[in-house]
Amino acid sequence: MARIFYIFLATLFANHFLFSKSATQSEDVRANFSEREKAWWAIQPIRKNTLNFPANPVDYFVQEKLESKELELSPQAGPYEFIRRASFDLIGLPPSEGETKAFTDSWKKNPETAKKELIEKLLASPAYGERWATHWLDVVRFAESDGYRADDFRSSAYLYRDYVIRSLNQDKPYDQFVREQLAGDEIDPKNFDHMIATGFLRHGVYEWNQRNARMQWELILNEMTNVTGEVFLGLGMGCAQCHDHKFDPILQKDYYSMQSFLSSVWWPEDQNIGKPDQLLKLQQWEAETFEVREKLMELKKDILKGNERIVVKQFPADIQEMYYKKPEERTTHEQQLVEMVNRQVRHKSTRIKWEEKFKKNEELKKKYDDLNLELASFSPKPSLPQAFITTDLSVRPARTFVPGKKIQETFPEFLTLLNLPSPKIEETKHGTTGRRLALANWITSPDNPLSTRVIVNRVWQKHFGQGLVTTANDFGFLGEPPTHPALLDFLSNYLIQNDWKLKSLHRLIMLSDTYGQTARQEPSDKASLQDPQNQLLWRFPPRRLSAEQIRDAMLFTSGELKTKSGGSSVDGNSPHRSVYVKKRRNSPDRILSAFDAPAGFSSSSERLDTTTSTQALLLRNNPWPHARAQAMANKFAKSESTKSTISKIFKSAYGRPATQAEIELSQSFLDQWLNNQEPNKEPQAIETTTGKSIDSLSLYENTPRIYKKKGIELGTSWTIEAITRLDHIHANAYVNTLLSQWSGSHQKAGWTFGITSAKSAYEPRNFIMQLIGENIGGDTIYRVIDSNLQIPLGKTHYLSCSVTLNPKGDSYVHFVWKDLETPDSKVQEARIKHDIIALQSVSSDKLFLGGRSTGQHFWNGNIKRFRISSPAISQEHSLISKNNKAPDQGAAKLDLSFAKSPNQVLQDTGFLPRTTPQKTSSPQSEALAALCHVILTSNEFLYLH
Amino acid sequence: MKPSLQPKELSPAGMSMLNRRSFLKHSSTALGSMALAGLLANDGLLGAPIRPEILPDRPYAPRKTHFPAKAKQVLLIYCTGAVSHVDTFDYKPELYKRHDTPLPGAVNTFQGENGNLIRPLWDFHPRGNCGKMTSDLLPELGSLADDVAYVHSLTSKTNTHGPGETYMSTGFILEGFPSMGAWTSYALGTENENLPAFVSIPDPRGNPQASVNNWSNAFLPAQFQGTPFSASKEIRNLQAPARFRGKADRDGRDLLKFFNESHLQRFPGDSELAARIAGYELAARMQTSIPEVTDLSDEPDYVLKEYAADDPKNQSRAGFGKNCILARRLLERGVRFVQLFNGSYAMGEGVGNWDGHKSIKAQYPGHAHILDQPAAALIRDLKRRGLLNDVLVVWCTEFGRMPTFQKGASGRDHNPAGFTAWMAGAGVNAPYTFGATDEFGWKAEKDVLSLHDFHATILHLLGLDHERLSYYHNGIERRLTDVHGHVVSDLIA
Repeated sequence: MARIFYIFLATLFANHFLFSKSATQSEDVRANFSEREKAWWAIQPIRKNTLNFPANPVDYFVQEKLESKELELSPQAGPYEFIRRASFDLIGLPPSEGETKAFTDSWKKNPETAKKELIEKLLASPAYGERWATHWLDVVRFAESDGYRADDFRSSAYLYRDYVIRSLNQDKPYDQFVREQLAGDEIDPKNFDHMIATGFLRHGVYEWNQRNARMQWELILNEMTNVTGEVFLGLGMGCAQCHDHKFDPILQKDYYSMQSFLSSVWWPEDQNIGKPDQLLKLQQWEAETFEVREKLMELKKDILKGNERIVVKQFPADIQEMYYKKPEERTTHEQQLVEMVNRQVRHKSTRIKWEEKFKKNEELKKKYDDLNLELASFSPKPSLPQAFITTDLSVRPARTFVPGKKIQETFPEFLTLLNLPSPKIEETKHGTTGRRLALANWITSPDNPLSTRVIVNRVWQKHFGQGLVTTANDFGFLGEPPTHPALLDFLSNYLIQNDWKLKSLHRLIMLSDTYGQTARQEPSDKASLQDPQNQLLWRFPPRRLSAEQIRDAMLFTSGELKTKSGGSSVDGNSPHRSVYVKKRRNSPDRILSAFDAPAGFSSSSERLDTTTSTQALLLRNNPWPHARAQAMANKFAKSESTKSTISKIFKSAYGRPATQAEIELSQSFLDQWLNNQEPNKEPQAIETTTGKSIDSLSLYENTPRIYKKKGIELGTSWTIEAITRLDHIHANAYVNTLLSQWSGSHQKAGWTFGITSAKSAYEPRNFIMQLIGENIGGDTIYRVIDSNLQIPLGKTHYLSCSVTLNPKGDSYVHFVWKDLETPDSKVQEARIKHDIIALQSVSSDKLFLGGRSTGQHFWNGNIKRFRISSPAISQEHSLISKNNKAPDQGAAKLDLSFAKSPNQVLQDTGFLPRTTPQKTSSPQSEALAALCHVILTSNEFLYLH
Repeated sequence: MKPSLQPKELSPAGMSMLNRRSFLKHSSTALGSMALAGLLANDGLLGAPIRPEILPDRPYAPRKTHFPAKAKQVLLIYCTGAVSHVDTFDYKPELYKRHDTPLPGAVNTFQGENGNLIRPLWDFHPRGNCGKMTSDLLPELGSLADDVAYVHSLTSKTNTHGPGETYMSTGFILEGFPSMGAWTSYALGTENENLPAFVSIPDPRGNPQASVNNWSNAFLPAQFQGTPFSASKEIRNLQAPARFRGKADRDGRDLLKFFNESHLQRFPGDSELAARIAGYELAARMQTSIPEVTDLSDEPDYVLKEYAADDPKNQSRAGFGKNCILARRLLERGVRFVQLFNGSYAMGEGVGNWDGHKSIKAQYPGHAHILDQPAAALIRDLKRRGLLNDVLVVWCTEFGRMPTFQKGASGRDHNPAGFTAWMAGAGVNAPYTFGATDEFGWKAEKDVLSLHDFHATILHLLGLDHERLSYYHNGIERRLTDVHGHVVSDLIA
């Protein structure tokens, strides 16, 4: 009965929709579409809710479908199953033991109230935004790097991630969320969140070194168009780029009309982000230093012009012509292409070595030095991050053309098939075209049949593993029609009635019996036959945890998970939640990418759940899960008996008590492990330089470690040089560390100087420097700066690295390597940029020679001499320079030669040997770690039933 | 009695799921494809996509081709940095005549202005019985001419290395698309399930410029991404940390298996759980099969010598030689797609790869010395062992170089308008020369080919229809060849 009513309503509305609008536009434009195309489900108006539902409306619609196949919901899940499901679902973490207990107690009184309270608690947790942001970031192809070889880090892209988390936690109405991302700058450019949101249009890949500016801009606009269609409208429009869509009623003209809403944009690179007082300070600095900077610029002008000419010449002739036009004569599109050139001009100009340029002309050199001194006499420039945002280049739109045999200009219009009046577009008072705002307003109009269905479907999809429309990014004919069209429409209306608030959908869905049913139900014969895919939801779908859930759950269970509320991204080895792990497209975190986290190259609406041998090898052998297991063992080792330890481990990992068989098996596994332990082997004997006279200090794994109590203050630039030999590298990923001044914590400033080992994530034998310091946003970050210079073993080399920290953000490390045993060997160099701009004082940390404070990362070889200089020295002052000029007075902070009596030298200069640290783990705790490792990598831990 | 660690048999239901032929886990994809098949059939458009049937527990099991294949396996030798075709395989006598004169219609290229035309820097001589002219830079590879089909008319869409490499490997300039090897292993699985289906062997000097994108699975399921390892760099996570090896490893595995199987007994209908148990077993087998294949100690000295793998003076050459031997060992063991890199990004422009901007005359002999003998030995060895009956050999680079020198330098700039690649082995029409560049070697002129045509031909040799090997992603049936590509039948025997 109800269904018939719906069909009637649908027809009524469809007719209304089709025929009432087009007084101005004739029906002709639709003449070329077939009846089937006009009846495309996704563009039909959303049917209104007219029924009064006895209970949860979700169940009404789901049961209706199930009944039609003579199927039914499974029994409701018990409290253990439910809390685990709801927690992973809403906050991405398992419940703690205490939470589970409180919930089961409350459940005993009243399951409904218990559920309600649990869901409210989870929705109010800041972890909710951290979990659900991942879903949105997948869809908008968020990543923090450019892609391609350079894969440059987008150091302030994280602000967008935080914006998404914040918006979700605030339960920002979805329509507002969309408007901000498409047109925040057109609405309120003074509003921080509005501006950060426009990063959406900028998250695609970018090749900095591309000379074909025209093609590249086209690729960028197409990418932007495709992703906008996919994310907000569920339309895979890409096909219509070259011709009318073969399967969907989308014309090629529609594609470019859509593009013309977006095509006037540019990505400004000169907008700093900061609190008002910080911005004010910057303005003051700029005003105070204006004159001196102008003078510097005057000095640099000719060289910069020359640099510009060289770069511009590499572009096609027509682009060069645009470049040299007067700005006011350029069209907006030309200006966009010129901006692409500008990016490369600027890039090249950052690599100019000014000292060298002025070296030949003493007078200029002096002027240059004096001006720099003068500039330095002002308070330092406040370093503020640059916003990763989008806005229009001007109020004049860039023209858009439909390519093809006959090139035609096109203007902002919606799909031809929809037959809607042309949008009203007014340029904004913020210097933009107003086009994106018009698009955003259309997308977020309650009448828009696509956008609400799309977002509602995404929410459903994340709760149940698959959407009501299983192809969540494609509502077209190649995609799937909805399994429950009436439910989809009901939910769409519900969202609008609830002010577009997603949390209202979570509440409705999660309190339904459909969501509450068990996943622990084997398919009946009928279910296997009628609905093997469980599309009608005769049980709750069992699922593998997602990449982030796996990593976060391991950290949570091992007791290591640390909270972090936003800020710069962190290394995957840090104990923070996965949403904060750095997302570099071409060097993604290995754990997350192995478990199908997308790399961010395109909008990703669903996660594949693959099962690969890479995952198995990673779980079994990678040090990361082993380290979690060890932490977990340490956490539980304090129990009074082994049996109680085992019970606690099971409860904590699986959320249920262990069975008797499991306890006995685990016990026997632990016993076997302990029986297998051979007495600890002595470290391998070391090679000694017998027969040779001692001319160097030997540094091997089992020599007592050597350190100086007080380290060295290095300032903003320094050089470390060494004449040394490395005999072998570690078989694992430890760094062969020659010198270091670091506590080992990623939160504490420090540095190390060394060479990578066999299993390094960088190539083996790679000369590297690790730096832990502040980035431009003031967060402490950890960076491995690798030279890509591969140092051969067993030879004496000169190794040097000069670090320059630049508060303006152009920091780099200059590596130098020379083989001292091969006659005429060339000096090899590498200059690597990084984003650390300051090192908080590290002078209190000990300076280690041949290792680190944390042990393990030993140097295996010898050292003849090392020198630490600050500020950094130039090549001509290096230890191997022919003219052997000594560095300027005061530059050498420490200079030790071990040519004679190395031990005496150490003693004389205040170095102390350090006793080897105590082994942290006993055989008992190692055995327990082995057990925890099995449990953390087992299917019951990785799957949610 | 203590419970034993011996795992129990799988339950019958578990086994039945494990053996089910159809695996429609990703219903979005599977159903999408059905809908599409129907649509296509209705509209009488193309042939419908052919979906490979992928078993959950045996993702690498060999699969049917679309039509009888000429080749079963692929060896792709990829020289990165853009090899100059006019100095190697594309003989242009006109360049001698017009040496040091301007190139008519010259344009600015990647690094800016160009100087005059410059004759080939190495002389060309006829090779083999066919008399194909190739240069003295690569005499050993040249000597294989009778087995080779040269393609002189390839064109690329970009003159930038990263996107160029990506385009050659994936058919797209943008990153984020599956590579040729990923498509192949997705379509065909492999003949040896204890080794990865698709192996990528980086140069001993380091990874190529486009790095992981050359062997990416992109949106294809992760099983089909290339596994990078070489003779000197082992596969990641192959060995457990020291104290978890040997008996400790076996005990851990046994306990894990027990837990997993008793878990499966509670959910016998869940094929994914069974697949993951199988995945652990495959990983255990790989732990022995991969060291076996990378251990070259059973190769006799004469083989090492032939491949220059014993070169004491040049580590890069010896390393590349060893990688060539590794490639042969992988192909012998049935690996479907082996991608062998010559050239790295590690040391920057022109030093670690074929990017000869500054001084080709000085840079190229070093690169040629590393490539020539080992690569030629590999192809000869494949032939001697009968493997060329099954293996298609493809030699490629991302684009060519200009016939001019750059202004103020003694090197040649990037040239995507015309360049050379070649094929040998299974199904290849050889000796043969296809297509031509203009008289200067600048622009492809005769039988101009896009990389899509090149890719379509490679897939065709493998028995795959490039228009029907597709994967539904974000509303589009994605293909290696995008929406282009024609099979070049002249290249097929």
